[in-house]
Amino acid sequence: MLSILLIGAPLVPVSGREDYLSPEEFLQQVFSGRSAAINKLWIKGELKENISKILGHDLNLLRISYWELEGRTAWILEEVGKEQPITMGFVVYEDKIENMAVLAFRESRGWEIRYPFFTDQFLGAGFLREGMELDRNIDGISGATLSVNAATRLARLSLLLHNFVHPSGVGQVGHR
Amino acid sequence: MTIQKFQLWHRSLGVIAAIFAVVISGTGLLLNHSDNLGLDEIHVDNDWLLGLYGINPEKNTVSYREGDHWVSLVGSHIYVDDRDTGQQSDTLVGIAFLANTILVAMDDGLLLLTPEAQLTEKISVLPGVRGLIIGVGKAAGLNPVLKTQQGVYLGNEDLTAWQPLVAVPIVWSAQEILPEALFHRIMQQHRGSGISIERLVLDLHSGAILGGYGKYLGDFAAVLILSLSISGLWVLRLRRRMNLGLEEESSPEE
Repeated sequence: MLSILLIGAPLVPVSGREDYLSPEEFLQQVFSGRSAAINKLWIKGELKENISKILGHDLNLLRISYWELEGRTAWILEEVGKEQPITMGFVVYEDKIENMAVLAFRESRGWEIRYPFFTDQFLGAGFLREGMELDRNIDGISGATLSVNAATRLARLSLLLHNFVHPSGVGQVGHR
Repeated sequence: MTIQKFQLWHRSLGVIAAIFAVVISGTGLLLNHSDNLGLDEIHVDNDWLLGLYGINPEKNTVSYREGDHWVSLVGSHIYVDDRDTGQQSDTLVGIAFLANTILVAMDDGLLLLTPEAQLTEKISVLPGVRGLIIGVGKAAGLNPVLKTQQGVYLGNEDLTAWQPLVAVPIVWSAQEILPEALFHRIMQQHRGSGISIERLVLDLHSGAILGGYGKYLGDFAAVLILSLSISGLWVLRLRRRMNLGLEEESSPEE
């Protein structure tokens, strides 16, 4: 039994940056090769406060770029899992996450969040009618808790940012 | 091979495997209780160990200067003067000053920083730019210019579009050597956030501490332990056969 456990140990991937998809490739995919408008959003006031509530820390960024086409917004966001930032891309349409992908992963553990069995849980997710929580539970991955939490925070952040630039009925937290 | 010789091989392999078992099990136990022991909050400050991780500042420091400000890559951290920007990168290929903003070029993107080391924006998409960035500069009276293996590109006002540029004199950002006093101030900060004990134990556990060779050592340990399991079963089988043979030999006398 010990042998079986030990055999698995050396097979655990070591730390190092893994680029799965470049931001350009992500945007090409989600907008089907069409050119989306690049906009800039200044992070200040109530939006900044709400971002801090979601992330649990300041975004440490004064301005963020996003891409927009026919009501869809795409965001390239980063959040630290344990020690290193995870880069993820999100597309939000009508206050719901339409697409999500892990673009780059630099932690030594938790890379499983890149797989569809995890990311598919976020598709169609939006905010609850009140507050900034997702309207569904996200199943965790054993041994990847911090990466799962980081991905969930970024999903909520993408919804917050989309709702800020596209205020509609639900989840206008950024404008309150 | 006789059973005695086979057992001798089995024991010798067992001794070697035991060394791996002790290291992997011991580090595994520590990792299981890493949070309780606070291993991620204790940092290593040993030159030799930090050298293993490439935190060898004299070799790895890359610095550029614009006016009174220095931007340096120390390890994987980007500093403006002696302030850690909180941004990490494997590369720093140059800087350019735009109004009151420092444009920091890495091979795969740009950072816009204030002179106080506050990040204004991180630009990871550079429409029009082909290839990895290898240099940044400014043409007289023009916006910043990026150089890649594929060409030279001029950015627009807000750096959201880049177009090929030819036959314009450009002043390229060039590496400089950090002043000694600034280097030591940066080092004081940098060492404080070096390698955590948890990272060290994790890399011992996985073999990553030995870099590329660690992976092969891990493979060796895995094959060794697998062989040991098989040889152990084989020894059991041979012994059982021997015992059965002895019983058969002794049975006619009974």
